[in-house]
Amino acid sequence: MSQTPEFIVRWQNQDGGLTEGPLTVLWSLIDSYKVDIFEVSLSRITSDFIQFLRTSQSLSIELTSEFAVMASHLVYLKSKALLPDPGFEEEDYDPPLPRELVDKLLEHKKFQIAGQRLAELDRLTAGMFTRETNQVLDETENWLDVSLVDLISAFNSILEQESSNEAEEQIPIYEGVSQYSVEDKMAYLQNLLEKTGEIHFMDLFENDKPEKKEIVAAFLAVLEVVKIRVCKVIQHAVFGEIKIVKV
Amino acid sequence: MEERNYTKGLLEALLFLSSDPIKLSALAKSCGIEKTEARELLDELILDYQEREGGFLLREIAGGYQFITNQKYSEILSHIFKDKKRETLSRGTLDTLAIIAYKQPITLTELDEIRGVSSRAMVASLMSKKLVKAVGQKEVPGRPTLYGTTNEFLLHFGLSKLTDLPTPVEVKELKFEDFSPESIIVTEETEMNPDFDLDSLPEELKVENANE
Repeated sequence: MSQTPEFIVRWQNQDGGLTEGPLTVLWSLIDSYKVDIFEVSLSRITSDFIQFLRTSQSLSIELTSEFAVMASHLVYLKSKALLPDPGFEEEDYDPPLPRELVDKLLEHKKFQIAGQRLAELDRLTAGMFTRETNQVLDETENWLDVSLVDLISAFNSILEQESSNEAEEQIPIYEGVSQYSVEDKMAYLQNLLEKTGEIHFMDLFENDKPEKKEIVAAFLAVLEVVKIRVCKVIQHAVFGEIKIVKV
Repeated sequence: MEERNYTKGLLEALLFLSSDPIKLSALAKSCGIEKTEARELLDELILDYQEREGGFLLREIAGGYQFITNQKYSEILSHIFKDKKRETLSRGTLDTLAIIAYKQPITLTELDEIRGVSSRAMVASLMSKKLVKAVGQKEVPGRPTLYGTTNEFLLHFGLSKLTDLPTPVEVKELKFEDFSPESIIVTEETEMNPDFDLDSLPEELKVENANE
């Protein structure tokens, strides 16, 4: 019976999962034997592993079911290896670790080493900083500058609808004076822009069903604010929707 | 030549203004040049900064380009910018991440098999850190979720693409001396309640020296 090396198992407490499991313990045992993994005795590692479970109990570390599973697996492998092999009888036959377990251990080790490399990379990149300003290049470019033709046709389509929504004029105003002035519209536009930063085409009109005078005033107001570079008019490449945005 | 230098400078200016990596396509489009030409100019810029060996470099990262401080100042900068420094990940997290990165797409069961412990909580925490995501379902009974790494993962480790990861060493090629025993590991109080009671072990496991 060999001396069980002292180990303590590392836990992962914040995420609630185990960091190290029975495979790590097996590796520690194998390392302590100072022999190649292909020469490790199955009997020895089995008894040492069970010994480890006992030790950990006395250290009052609670182990999960994975450890019990590993222990029973080892005992199972050992018993299988000890079954008499017909035509092969030897008194003190000490079976090595079975292939499947060795493969599993090597695989485990491989990723432990890969994890170490990631850890180095993590340490390195944690100290590499980037700048904090950000000018985003618009990668989508779905909003294109509107040509005057598009703008006119947008207003046109509204005008066509308008013929059916001439409102009842409640206050008779004499001809030539519109109740919608371009100045008022511009103020209205700029006010909206200040608040939201963008205006959808239909929000240009105070009414859902604008009448001709309002449409004309809005059209001229848009031309004005674009001219004085307060905003620009853009159109969605796919949906053809028109928006007025702050410059 | 004149124009070429002008465009190269413009690319540099765009990269300078952005803190996030900018994709090649966006850079090319902004400068009104073909992607191949943009890539050529960007490669030149990367080299220029490398040869200059200054405080920062231009890097290709997660499919884009970005200025980043030179890694030789990593240590000192993380000291100066304590508050900005990123928390490094725990070893368990990194081991799990390594398996997912190399083996993706991978199911939870396959992951548990390699680690020898349950990885459910670990994967959940990696997902909450946006380093890992579900990438589909395996076409086997039960259709278990398959996991893989994210773009965030590339950014985190400063990689341009997955193939930039160092190739895992085949342990069989290692000599016995290369194994580093890490037998003493720190313990912390755990919040888990592993219902493991040694007395509940089958009787046969308690028999010492069963066959010696």
